[in-house]
Amino acid sequence: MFALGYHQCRWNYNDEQDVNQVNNKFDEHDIPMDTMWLDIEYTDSKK
Amino acid sequence: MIGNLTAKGRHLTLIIDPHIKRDNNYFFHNDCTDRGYYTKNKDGKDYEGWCWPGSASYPDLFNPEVRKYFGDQYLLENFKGTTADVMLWNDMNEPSVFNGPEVTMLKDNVHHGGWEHRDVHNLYGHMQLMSTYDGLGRRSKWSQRPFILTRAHFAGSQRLATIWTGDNLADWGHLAASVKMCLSEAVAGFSFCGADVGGFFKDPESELLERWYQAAAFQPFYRSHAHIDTKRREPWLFPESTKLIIREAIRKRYSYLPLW
Repeated sequence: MFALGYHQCRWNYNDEQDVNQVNNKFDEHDIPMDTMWLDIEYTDSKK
Repeated sequence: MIGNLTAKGRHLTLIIDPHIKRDNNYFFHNDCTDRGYYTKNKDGKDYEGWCWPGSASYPDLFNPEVRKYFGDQYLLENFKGTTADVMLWNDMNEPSVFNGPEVTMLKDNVHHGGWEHRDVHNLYGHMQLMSTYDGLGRRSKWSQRPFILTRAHFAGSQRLATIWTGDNLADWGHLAASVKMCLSEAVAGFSFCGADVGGFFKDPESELLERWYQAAAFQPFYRSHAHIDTKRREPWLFPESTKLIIREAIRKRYSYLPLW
């Protein structure tokens, strides 16, 4: 199950492009990763 | 963005904290205010605390109606932009109140059933988990087991969520502590536990990061996390030798997963 894999998280990824780039880099460098995480800043004014 | 991840078979996890921003333009705040869903102070008024959004109130998750309402917000028709592959992180659910005593709610706040906060404090996080678990389960019509990461927990929360050790430091002592902490939690029933790889606060030097990735590869919950003021620390940003060690550690873990 994916939850037992490796999770990549940070407070915070800057924007969708950032997440996409990190996602791609994992493949580029051939490192397994199963879940990306978004911390509080993704919200609209922390609602 | 979610499509980019799921196209490679990956998932996304979002953070949802229990506190709600006091904002008249926010539907959730208005619903809670109108329906009396917020935790009250001893004078019967909606309790206001200070947290990430500024002035915030705390849904009284001891009320089953409030739990259902909160859980409903995860349904795909309500949580626009999410898909069934999006999982949840319930943080700050002790509950965390920046300007409160011991960084939490007033002990004489009042919950559903007339319970004072002092009597039920330890269950607040668990109540949120019940709500989130139910919401996510209903979202997939129980075809998928929900994945939730939580900070606050109570006996029995292990049925609903994974835990982690909270805000740690990029420090060798904290790496050592992660082993002891997860083992202690496991004895209490929480086997799905982990610590922030690399340490949440401060910047780990290469060797600490390498060793953390290696050690944590053998801990159940494997996630790296970092404070907003730290330097970026994705593996490829370090010297090639470090990146390779980290990659090797992650790969080794995956190679063991079929056994575990």
